[in-house]
Amino acid sequence: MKRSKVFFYVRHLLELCLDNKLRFFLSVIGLLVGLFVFTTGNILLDSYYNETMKDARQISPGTVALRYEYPERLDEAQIYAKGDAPVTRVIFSEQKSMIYAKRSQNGTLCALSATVAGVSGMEQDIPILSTGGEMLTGACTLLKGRLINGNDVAMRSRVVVIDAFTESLLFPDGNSIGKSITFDVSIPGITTSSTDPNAHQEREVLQCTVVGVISNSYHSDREAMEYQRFSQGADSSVQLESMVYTPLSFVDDAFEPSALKLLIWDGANSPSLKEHLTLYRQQSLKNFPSYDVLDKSAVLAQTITRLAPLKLFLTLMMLLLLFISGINAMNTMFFSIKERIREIGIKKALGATKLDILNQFILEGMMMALIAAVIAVVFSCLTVLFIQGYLNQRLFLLFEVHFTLSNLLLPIFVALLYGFVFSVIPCYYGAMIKVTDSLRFE
Amino acid sequence: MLIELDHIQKTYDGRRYVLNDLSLTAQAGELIIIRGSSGSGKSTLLNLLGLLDVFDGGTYRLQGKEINPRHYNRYAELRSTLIGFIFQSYCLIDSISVQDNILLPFLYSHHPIDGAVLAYLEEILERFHLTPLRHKRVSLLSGGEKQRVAIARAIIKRPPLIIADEPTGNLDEENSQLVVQHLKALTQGGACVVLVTHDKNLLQYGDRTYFLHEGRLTE
Ligand SMILES: Nc1ncnc2c1ncn2[C@@H]1O[C@H](COP(=O)(O)OP(=O)(O)OP(=O)(O)O)[C@@H](O)[C@H]1O
Ligand SMILES: [Mg+2]
Repeated sequence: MKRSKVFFYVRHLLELCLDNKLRFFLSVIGLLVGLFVFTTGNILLDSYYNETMKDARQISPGTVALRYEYPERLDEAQIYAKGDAPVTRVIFSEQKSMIYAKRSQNGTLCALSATVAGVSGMEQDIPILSTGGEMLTGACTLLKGRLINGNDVAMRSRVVVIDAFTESLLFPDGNSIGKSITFDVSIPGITTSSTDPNAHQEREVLQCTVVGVISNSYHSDREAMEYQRFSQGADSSVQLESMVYTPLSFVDDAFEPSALKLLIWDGANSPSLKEHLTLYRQQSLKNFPSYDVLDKSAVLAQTITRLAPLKLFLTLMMLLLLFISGINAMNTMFFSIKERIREIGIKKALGATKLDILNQFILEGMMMALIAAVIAVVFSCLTVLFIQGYLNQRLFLLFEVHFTLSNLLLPIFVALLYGFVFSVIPCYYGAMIKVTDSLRFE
Repeated sequence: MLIELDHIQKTYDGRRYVLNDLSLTAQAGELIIIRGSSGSGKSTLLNLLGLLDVFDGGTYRLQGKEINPRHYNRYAELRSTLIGFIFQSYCLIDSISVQDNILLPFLYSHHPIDGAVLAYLEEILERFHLTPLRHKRVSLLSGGEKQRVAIARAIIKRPPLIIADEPTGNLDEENSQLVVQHLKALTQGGACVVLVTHDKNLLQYGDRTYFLHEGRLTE
């Protein structure tokens, strides 16, 4: 077709499309609703997926960790010897220490309790908390001051490294370096003991000097949001958690160390190390469930498995809805073909073939679907951004919309497919009618 | 010969033959008028001539080419190049403009809409006094105007055969005369026009007039 003709043809299609405003409106609206829910749902689901993955994503790809609860069953020497990469040893304080508490005007309480992690060093991945409260590993970025080093461990220094969120709570002016944090060792959590008269006597206070501040883990970012919710006047108390880092020897000295320990290898050769650890776990630890071998791929896989049923269910629901809206579009198409049988007859008399007729109506169907898809995508984007704003600013939930190209193109592709599939049947019906019969049609 | 119909038979229900042993020849430059009572099969005959419907017996040659009634799907191209249709009910597409209606046949042929076509379009619009209406929606036109648009559409591709089924059926005396005068003028340009009409005042324009009765044509 020559250019002038293409232009004429497209204009002709548009005119016919828009001729019956009600029909146009009905077909577009029908598809639009389905596509809108589909697109919005897809983006939200993907964003949620992405958000949930953020815990696992913090783990550096080369790192393998062994998490164990019963140290007496573990021959540490053997493990260290076999690991061919540098290892960071970690033990945790048995109890969380409350390091911050604040009561708001309406009487609610905000408390921050810290898990004290004694580390042999901080150059490699360090232990962090996941949003579920589990122990993960992740790289740390120093924001100011310095990290815990081997010297601190040897000297049993009373120093501590905190993250930005902890700093913002404890030292709102932002000057934490050189100041001290008081660990309230004997009192677990915030449910202290106004009921227990002896509590105060058992209480021991330890002070550590802040030497460095590192960037937040994803968990800390969430806690920061939670704190915001509290400071905006929440009507319930909040219990926040963070992790602070001290030399390994300090935890040994000052706290009753917990049974939970962590060995973190910055595995230059992580697959074989992981294999070794898994094997060791099977052979020496007799599959004791409290020993975990943990690395990025395992945690990612776990998360994916956990989310799979939800994702499947929601995807099926959205496809069902899309299907229904497609049937609705087909319905509209069918009636519009009947309405236009005379037009088909005229065009055939002018020399149009069945294929010409089919093409025209399919193109029309696809054009309407495309219009619906574009509107749906635009509305969906606005909606999810609104939802993000609402979650962040009103509900103080950490949620970031995750747009992907496929999320935005998929509905357009689906719409074109729909325009095609759901026009073919009615159009075929229209194209098959004999010319003389369709000309009689009024 | 442009049209050669030989012993054509046509039945809708397999029992009654609407056309029975009908023969007709026509050549370029002729205006042939066909009359007959209602239901005698005039429209049926024109549909056969225009390759819109199949026949059940006999032979039909159009421009010397034999038409096979089993292969009607292949005749879209012939319809588009050889035949122009004019109907009593205009058969225009109401939602688009006059000009687009006239150019519509080009969407279904290989012929480009080139300068020559556009020049001819201007000439036709002028001839049928449609120039001021060219961008108007067809649904807003009067009956006479619509039929002029229909004629313009039928001749835009300069087809050798023009089939007109009661084109004046919905028009008043004056417009009827005008339409037939236009058709007559087309035959002077070399086209062959087959016209069905009930209007006795129009018979004077025909080169030949036939009467369709019991499936056959009589002079
Ligand atoms: N598609 C069809 N199916 C069955 N019978 C038909 C069909 N088309 C026409 N007929 C019958 O064939 C006969 C001829 O019809 P046709 O339309 O050719 O008449 P006509 O001469 O054009 O009449 P009028 O002057 O009223 O237009 C009529 O009896 C009609 O009922
Ligand atoms: Mg008739």
